[in-house]
Amino acid sequence: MEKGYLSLVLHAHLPYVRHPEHENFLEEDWLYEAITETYIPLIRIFDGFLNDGVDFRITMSITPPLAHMLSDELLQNRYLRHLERLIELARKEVERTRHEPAMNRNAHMYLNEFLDVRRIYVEKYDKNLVAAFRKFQDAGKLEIITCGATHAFLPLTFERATKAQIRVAVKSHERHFGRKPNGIWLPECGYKPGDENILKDEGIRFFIVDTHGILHGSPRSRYGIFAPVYTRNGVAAFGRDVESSKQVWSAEEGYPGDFSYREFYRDIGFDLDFEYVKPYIHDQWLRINTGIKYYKITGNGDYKEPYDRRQALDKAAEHAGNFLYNRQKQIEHLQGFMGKKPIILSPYDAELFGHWWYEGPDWLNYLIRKLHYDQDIVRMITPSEYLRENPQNQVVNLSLSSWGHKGYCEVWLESSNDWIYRHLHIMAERMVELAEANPTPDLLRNRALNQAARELLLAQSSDWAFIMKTGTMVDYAVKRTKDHITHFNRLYEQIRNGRIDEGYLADLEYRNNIFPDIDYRVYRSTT
Amino acid sequence: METGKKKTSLKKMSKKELVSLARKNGLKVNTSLLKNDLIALLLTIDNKTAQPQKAVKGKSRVRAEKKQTAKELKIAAPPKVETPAALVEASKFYEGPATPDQGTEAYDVPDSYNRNLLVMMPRDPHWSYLYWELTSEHIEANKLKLSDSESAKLILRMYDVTDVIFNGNNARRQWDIDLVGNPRNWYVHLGVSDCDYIAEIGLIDKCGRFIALARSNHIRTPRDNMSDLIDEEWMMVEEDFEKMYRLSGGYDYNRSSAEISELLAKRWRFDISSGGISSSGSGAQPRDKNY
Repeated sequence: MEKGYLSLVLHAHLPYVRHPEHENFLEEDWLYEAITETYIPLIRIFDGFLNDGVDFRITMSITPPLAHMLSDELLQNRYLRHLERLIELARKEVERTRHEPAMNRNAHMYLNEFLDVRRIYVEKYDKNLVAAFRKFQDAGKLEIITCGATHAFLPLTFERATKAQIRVAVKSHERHFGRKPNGIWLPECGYKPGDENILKDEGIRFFIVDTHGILHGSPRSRYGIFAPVYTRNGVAAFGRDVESSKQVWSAEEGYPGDFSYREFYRDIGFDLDFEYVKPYIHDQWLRINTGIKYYKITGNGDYKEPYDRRQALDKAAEHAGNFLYNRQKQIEHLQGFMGKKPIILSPYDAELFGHWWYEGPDWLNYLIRKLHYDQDIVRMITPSEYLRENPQNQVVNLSLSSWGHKGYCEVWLESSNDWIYRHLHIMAERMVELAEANPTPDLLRNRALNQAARELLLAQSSDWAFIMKTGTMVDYAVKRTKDHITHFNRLYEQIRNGRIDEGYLADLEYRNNIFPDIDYRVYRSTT
Repeated sequence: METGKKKTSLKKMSKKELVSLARKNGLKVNTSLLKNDLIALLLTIDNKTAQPQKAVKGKSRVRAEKKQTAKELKIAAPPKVETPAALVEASKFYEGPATPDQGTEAYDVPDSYNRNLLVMMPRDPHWSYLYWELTSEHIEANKLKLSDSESAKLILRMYDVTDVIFNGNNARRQWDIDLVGNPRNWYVHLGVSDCDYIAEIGLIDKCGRFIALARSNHIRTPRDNMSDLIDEEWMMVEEDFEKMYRLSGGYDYNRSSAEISELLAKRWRFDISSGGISSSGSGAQPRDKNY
């Protein structure tokens, strides 16, 4: 009999980046890399569990933009083109490195990996990864939850816009996954008091907050973060466990920084001759990452040794064992102390596994198999399952919080990005105004109103503010923000003046086609 | 890439970089050529064959077959972030240390929307961010109401309205902030967490007469420590709670509880000001560069 629960939550998200107007577009690579390095490796290990009869429970938030991009035909075909190029490059690499055994082994590793990714993508799932995740959901192993429609940081979003973010997300989720989401990953764990009322209206039963959201709640939480609490209206909040987070997240103290693991910042896109890699990086003048990386972290300095896959896998198995041991000890200790079974909820960015931490999916594979075969102290659980089994919980007023640096809003509200809010706020106000003033528009106006709503939502992605702060790809984030602001303002004027430029509108619909069945009335106060 | 676009990116390169780029593309040039000549020459070659290697700043890369030492290879610098989670999140958007220009230039967004308003947003338990818009007509019209309009200056007036239904005169405390340098936004240190605040922007003359031009929305700052309130239904002894709190990661393991509350509180208080009061003029044009 188990003594406690482990709930692994993987937050899978990328902002909506799709540029049909360009033949090649660098930022679309974000998606392609995540598919190759994270989403397909996760699907592969989940399939392995099903095949081997390994019972498992994972919770994943698959955000509406990601689900939309994964189901988009243009991006599916472009991904395949990207993958074919990668396979071609890997073949060349096998040939180029033939006299260097250590490198050659790694070149073979990538070639085999990419070929298998293609097999899974094309043959097994017919380019539809949403269907793959849905399969694990329908098998009762994976709980898929939603997120803000475009990952808006909600503590800095006013009420009506928040409501639209949630409602549009729930609808999109239902369309992609065939059922309403029971839970939500609040973007960046950003919670502000009162948002639970919007969640409840949309049928959401739980969300996840950072540790201090509960610890600084009032009254004090009896079980800390080791049991969920209810907000006043009965929507549950689960808190992030610090200890297990640190072990996996932290590059210094955590597993991913181990010297045997693959070095992320060392890519042949930069290491090899430009002429040689040029066809595989981009139709531009710049070097970028290819995803083929031959070195291990090795040490703290610049000196890097070739990656040794066998050694890295041994390490991943060892770290999985260590993680499990620590959770067992943590749970045994807590259970004795609490007098009830604790739940350890460990959330991670899904892209940590594979993209950032190359061996992450292997670690997860080892961990889940160990959990299944080797012990019965820890049981994997989803938040929904937990709430079904433990319907009684303490009521706590939670504190505004996020999982960003310093725990509040500063990452998304500082000198590099604070300029966006004066625009985002008035756009939301104007959208409400338009929705109220146009209860029964004609067809063209209806299209313009829906597109205005899309432009507003796309401008609200917290990713843009985040990128502005971190300092890489800033121009793109600024441009995207300004583009959506401008599109919205033009549509606003056109709708108000009754002179809608159909060509302009059609172009926006063609480019920014997220949420095909959106209804701008989501911004009306009466709905 | 269109010619205009290419020209812009060539213009950003140094003359030395242009020379080496031209030579790389088989053009016979010497350093006596002017920068504009080099650009003109480079524009004559086919777009796809010219590759200014911004990422390596003109330094030629070692050939694939050549023996490479780690020192020769520049390892891409990771993005600037503070937490492991942010590093992972940043890695999702990381394609290399330099970013290319793509597509068309960004649109200019309006500086203002011709309104009079003040908006306040909570940044953390101790700081809020305010932005505003004031039309010059609105300012001028109100200036006239002051007896000494010459000396009128713009200030923010902050009100702590915790447990108060605010009527303009009953704040628990209030203080003014001089707005130096015609800013369009400001970060305000509020001092006390878990409190309610409202702000006004307005004109004050040297006699101290104040006319509000806009009043903000109301905000409540988040708590920065554990609550004093212990739910009656779930009463528990202090010791238990302390332990629960510690196990939940509320503080470092080897410290005493007195140290801990201090630690937690300190984490959010004055050291949180990184770049805090730096707001002057950062409005809708955060940099002088055109996007």
